[in-house]
Amino acid sequence: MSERTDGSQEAAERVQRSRLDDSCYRALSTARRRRVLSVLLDGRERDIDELATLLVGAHAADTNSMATPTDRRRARIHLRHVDVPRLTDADLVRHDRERDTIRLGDVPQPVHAVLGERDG
Amino acid sequence: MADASPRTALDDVLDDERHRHTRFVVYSDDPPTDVEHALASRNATVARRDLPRGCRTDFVVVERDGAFAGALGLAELRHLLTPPVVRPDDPDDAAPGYRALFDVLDDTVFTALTRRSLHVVSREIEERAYRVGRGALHVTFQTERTFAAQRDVYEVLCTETALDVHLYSPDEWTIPVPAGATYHETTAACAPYWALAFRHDEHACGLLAREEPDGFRGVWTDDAETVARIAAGIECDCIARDTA
Repeated sequence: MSERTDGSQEAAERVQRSRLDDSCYRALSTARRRRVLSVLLDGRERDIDELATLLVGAHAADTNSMATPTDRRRARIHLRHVDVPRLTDADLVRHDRERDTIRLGDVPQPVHAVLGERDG
Repeated sequence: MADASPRTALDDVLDDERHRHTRFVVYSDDPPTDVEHALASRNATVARRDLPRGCRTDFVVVERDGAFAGALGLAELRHLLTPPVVRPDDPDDAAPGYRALFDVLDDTVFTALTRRSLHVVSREIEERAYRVGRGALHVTFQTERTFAAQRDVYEVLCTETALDVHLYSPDEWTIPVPAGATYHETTAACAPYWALAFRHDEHACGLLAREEPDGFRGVWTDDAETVARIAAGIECDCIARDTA
């Protein structure tokens, strides 16, 4: 009985680890979310408006284009409804819903390595 | 003082625009450059932030009266602020970012713009009015000679569009006014002004510049409200007074 329990716990942990890996993987699968994480690596708390501004500004600079208020509005909506939930699910960021601010969560070392190699 | 010039409605419009606030926030780890000094000379404030981690290229965020108006690379902005300002032949074919950039920069009160640059801006407004084909176009000409150089353009605007065209000048014109346009003789107080206002529900744009010793100062805008105020200013100041 106890063996079975241990086995279930191990399985549960494996499933949990796998889930974390999946959620991490999904969270890191877009350049925009990797950039959000990179920005937050300085340890500062940022609000979603500010993050949206930084994202569209950096993208405009990378692409020699001009970000418009519409671009920023879209970025903010995407952040709020897609990116931040994904990053929060993966425990990579913490979202203070009352203040609508984001800060870095528990970022495993391999994630740091990914950010350093691909976006830093 | 007895020799003080009478204050015109266009003076008020221009002063209001000057007091609108534009802020450029520069994200860069490098020391400030001449670009930032140039921005400061455009009646704007400039703030600096470190380039956030994960961002590879310096960029600038433009805020108008506290609201986000646009963002672009610092290098691109430097390029655009370097005279001569080059505009696309056909703005409709230009990259949306390029047009957006002018929406931002054009709405900024500018200083020391040359007569040549004003010609370019004026052509842009006339072309837009032509493409749209409806609405009211109010245009001041400092002299009859200035209008003579543009008469063919206005002939086309009057014959090929449904625009309501109003032309204003302090000169008494001998040159025939295109059929369909209305000519208004203006007061001398408006002589220093170069103004165009294209009034339209969706595509309004306008230019208001005053000639000063070091060039023209003024505003070029797509803001319908400002365009309406420019048009009202022209009408208010420029409609010929009774000389009796």
